[in-house]
Amino acid sequence: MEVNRAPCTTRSFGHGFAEVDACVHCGLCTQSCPTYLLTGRESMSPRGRLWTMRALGEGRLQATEAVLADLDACLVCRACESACPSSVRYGAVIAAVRAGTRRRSFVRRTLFALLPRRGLLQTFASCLRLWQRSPLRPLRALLPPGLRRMEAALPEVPSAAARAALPRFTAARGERLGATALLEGCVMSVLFQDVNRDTVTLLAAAGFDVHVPPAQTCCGALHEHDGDLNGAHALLQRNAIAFESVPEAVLVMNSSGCGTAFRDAERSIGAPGATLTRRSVDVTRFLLEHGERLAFRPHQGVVTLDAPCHLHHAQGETTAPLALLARVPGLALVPMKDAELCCGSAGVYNLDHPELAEATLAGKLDHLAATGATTLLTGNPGCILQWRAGVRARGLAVEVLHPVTFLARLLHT
Amino acid sequence: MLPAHAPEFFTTLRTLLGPERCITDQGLLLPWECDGLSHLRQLPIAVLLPETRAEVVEIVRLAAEHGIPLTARGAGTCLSGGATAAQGGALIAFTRMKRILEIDPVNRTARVEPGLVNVRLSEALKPLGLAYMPDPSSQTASTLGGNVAENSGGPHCIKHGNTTMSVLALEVVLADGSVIELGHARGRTEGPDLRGLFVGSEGTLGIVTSITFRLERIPPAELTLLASFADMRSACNGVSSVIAHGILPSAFEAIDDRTIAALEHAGKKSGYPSNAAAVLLLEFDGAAESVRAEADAATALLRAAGALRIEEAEDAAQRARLWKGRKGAYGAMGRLAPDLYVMDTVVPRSRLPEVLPAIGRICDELGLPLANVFHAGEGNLHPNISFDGRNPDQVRRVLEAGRRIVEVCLKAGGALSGEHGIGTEKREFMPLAFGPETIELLHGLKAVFDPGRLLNPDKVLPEPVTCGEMRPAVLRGRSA
Repeated sequence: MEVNRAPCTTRSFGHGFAEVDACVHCGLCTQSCPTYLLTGRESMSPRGRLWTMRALGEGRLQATEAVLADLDACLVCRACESACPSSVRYGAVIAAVRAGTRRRSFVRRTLFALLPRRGLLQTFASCLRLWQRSPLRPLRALLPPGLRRMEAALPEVPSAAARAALPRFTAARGERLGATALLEGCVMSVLFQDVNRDTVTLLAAAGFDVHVPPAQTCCGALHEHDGDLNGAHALLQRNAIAFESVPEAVLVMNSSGCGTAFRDAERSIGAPGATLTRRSVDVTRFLLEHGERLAFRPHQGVVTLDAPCHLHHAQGETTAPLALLARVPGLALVPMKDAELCCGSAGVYNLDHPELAEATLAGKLDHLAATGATTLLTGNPGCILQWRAGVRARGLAVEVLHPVTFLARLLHT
Repeated sequence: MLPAHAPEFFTTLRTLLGPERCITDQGLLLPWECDGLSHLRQLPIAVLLPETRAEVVEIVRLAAEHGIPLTARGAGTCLSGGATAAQGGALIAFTRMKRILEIDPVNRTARVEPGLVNVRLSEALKPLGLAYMPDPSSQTASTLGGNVAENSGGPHCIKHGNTTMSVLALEVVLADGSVIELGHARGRTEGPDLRGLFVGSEGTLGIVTSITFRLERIPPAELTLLASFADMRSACNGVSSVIAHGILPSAFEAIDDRTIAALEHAGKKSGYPSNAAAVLLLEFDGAAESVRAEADAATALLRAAGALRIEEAEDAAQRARLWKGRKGAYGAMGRLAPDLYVMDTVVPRSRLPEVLPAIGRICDELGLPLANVFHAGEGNLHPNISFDGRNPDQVRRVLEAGRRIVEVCLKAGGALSGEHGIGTEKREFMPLAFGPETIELLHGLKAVFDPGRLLNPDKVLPEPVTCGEMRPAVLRGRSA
């Protein structure tokens, strides 16, 4: 048995890495980690990954293919942060290490470069829609496996009309209570513009003006998870400036991934990000606290709720979605086992690690089936896509919706 | 790449388990180099992850054939190095062997695989109105196999007993690969209690592959009190006074001001008063009337001992919050320094008021920050020492503090370990607690079950060379 006499020379991974020292190796995080639960391997647990990253920093471990593979297999769901008695900001550590180690493919970089460019992104979406509806689509069998998987995982792109930009301003209905601003998002604006429109409807009905500042851009969360910290931070800077155009508006977030990026903005980019951190709030929390005016019709059928990791663990918003849904008269809301465990979507994780993502979702689908629900609600675009794919594959009669969509449908007008 | 020695061992196991469950890559082995005792490390030559008893038998058989030391490991939350590999040895990790095999609600027993996490059993039992009582603070992560190996305690063990009180039977793979059953699910055994011998043997005598536990009914009523004191001495006197009056709480914990500060610092809302020098956390369980009567009597006694304030948890949520602070206390100390040494010693309850300041003086002299959070009702201390493991001088001072704390506790009539086990951490202290005859006997016992010294060697018992008076017969037995 050797007593630790590791060298003190620490290779710095930059911003956020020092947080690694707060881990005491107690292991209380391990049962919260989807990849550890599946594999039982220490290198696939939060504690093991922190140990690995610390050793990389200390220079006593080489960043080999195998070591990086297990670090890359992390979902960054941050459930370990909820479990951690020391409140280690695991997400910050792994983002810093990924920035220093992650090799990003050309396809990946190209795709991510599209996200903040609205015009190009919409053109890409139109092409994709054309391809998805084209008689040539069977040719996808000829694509290389990686691209083929990506192609298959992409959901049906809505029509250009359904993807139309939101009005820059929507006035409150009735007496005006205040101002809000909305981030249209990248994935949200292409695949879930309906959720954005429903959000506007609910906010206006609750008595709030809704601004959609034109200078806004992608939040950068996906870039950060991918290790492109500079890219992510530049996008936060742009958004901080964009939302300064409506200084008194509350930033209502309807994608928990984007919400987390904004909530963490001050930590990420310092003082300029403070405006995003301070002013942003999840849509469920905002409507819970300011939506007294909203009245809903009853809903037939059993509903269950899945907690997006970045809402539940990263933002610590564990109560608002449930409390808001309780406003629907007599709603049959059945809790789902392990609802706070990741569904395997995790940004674009399901594209990189299809097997782990599928295995993670498989357990969740069992729990969903056990609830007997016909509607599953979850407030993050990636999670909605992942659940819809799983529900379809399993043949379950469950509609997967954003809570905002669900509530907008029941809104008394 | 396979390790150079005993290539057959690895090729056979790789075929049996597949590359995913037979880890030999140096980089992937690194996070397995220690358990919760992170300053004592040993890189395993391989990590093997069986899923069935048959695979365990095969691994043990092959290890015996090739002379490879094996250390069984659950979640690796052990705080004494028990789940760290031996030099040149492999780890057999039970993290994939985690099924509940059977729950018998009528006879109140459960049979489980060793990799099942403690709290998962409680979760499965709850709808049946049943409970598995031992609740180590690591229960949300630690495995039941590990709990058996360490005879783990926990806050509620003052009333319900350490793990051994709940173990009815064990299925064990011996060093030669044979499988035996110890104890009986009905709780009756003939002859010596070999089950009891295995519980707490830290994987040095055999490898457990299934455990049958005794279950209890979930207590009909529970009541939690939080008492704050201006100094630790009064708190300790309060503990002795309550127990001396024949009141047995189901948990009786003490938390000092530095621990409360650490929780605050880590951003945890523990609900402990930040101005108290010490708080006691007491719980009572049983029938509603007796719980109330006991709590009232304890409240009066604690007031007499000088309690500043005594609060009662109003609901389950508040009770859970109070416990979350206690169970997360050790992790929260990660905010104070990069590493933490959680010690485990026992002293007679009555000696707490003098031993605690003595421990404080040792740490002050060595310039080490100390926080105490412990099972006061049992006199089971957990001095927590924060340090930076990358600083060799600090590591030296921590080890020195450990030795001196053990000496103080033993001198006060205490024991080496209350619940964390001996492992590698305290093996050199064994001669301080036991005479040469006892240690010799323990070596002989080990030799009976594991003559080749392959099952978690270099743990618990000190090196035989340090016991000069070892009788030749015992040495022969060990090396046979």
